[in-house]
Amino acid sequence: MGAKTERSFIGVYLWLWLLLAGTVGAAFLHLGVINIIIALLIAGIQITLIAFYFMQLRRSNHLNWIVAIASLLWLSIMFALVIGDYATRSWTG
Amino acid sequence: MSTRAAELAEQFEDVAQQREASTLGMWVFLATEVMFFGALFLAFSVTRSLHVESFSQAAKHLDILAGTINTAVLFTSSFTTALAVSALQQGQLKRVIGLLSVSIVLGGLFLAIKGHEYHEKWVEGFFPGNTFAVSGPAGNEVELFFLFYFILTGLHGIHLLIALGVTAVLVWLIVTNRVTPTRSMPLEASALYWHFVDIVWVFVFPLLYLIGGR
Repeated sequence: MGAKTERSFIGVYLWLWLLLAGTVGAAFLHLGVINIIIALLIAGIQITLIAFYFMQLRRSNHLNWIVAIASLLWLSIMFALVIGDYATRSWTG
Repeated sequence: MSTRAAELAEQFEDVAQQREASTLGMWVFLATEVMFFGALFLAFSVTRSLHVESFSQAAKHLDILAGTINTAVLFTSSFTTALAVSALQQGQLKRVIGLLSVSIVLGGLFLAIKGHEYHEKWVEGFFPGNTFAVSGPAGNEVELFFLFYFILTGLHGIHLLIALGVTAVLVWLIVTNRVTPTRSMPLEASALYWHFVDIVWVFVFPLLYLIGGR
């Protein structure tokens, strides 16, 4: 921890502002489903920046990486099963 | 020897192991929080996919300016919290207390803006219940959107309130010299929680305010 870390925090902070402007700006364009993809993509970049820099995952013990990745893995299992169910309910044989 | 003993709990080999255990414990707790909010986001996504049109219309009733300002406020509070952890590890205690105080003020500002939004929605009749502003079949779907709005932002607000309380306690512990540069894990753990609350908002904001288009 030192001046270098704090400079990286400033960089991340500016990026978060830039991405916020991007996601709000994109909401005013009418792109249909691409709006959702842009919003989620930008949110994904924002949480990666926060986790890696502000939450220090970048320099943290790899056990913490496993916990963080496992939580996303379990989350994606839950999403995949439920959305798979709803997406196929109207299928006819 | 006595200060060293106070810094190292007896079940740990050394300070590094104690620190790793503290951070890992916090990450495991945050993983449970991911599942907690994840289920709500999933329910919202599925419900939205069933009523795309009404949900897009309903989202236009939200105050995008207030939402954007609040996002910036939370980013700033996360920034000052991250700087506070760094300052503590460098032994700059006055700076730590200053930075944490800024975080607390910004957290309070977020809740004040959120409260203002709640008040407006209440006055306009968008709080789900018998007197909901929009009636008819589409009205039910708009009401469903606002149910999600109040539950998601409400639970997020409660989390932020807890983070505010924990951070205030941390300021007290630092002032009374119980959290020190060599024993900084309590602040590191509470900072992780603060950043997590920020991360939840990073999803709440676009899902509720933005994705319907404006």
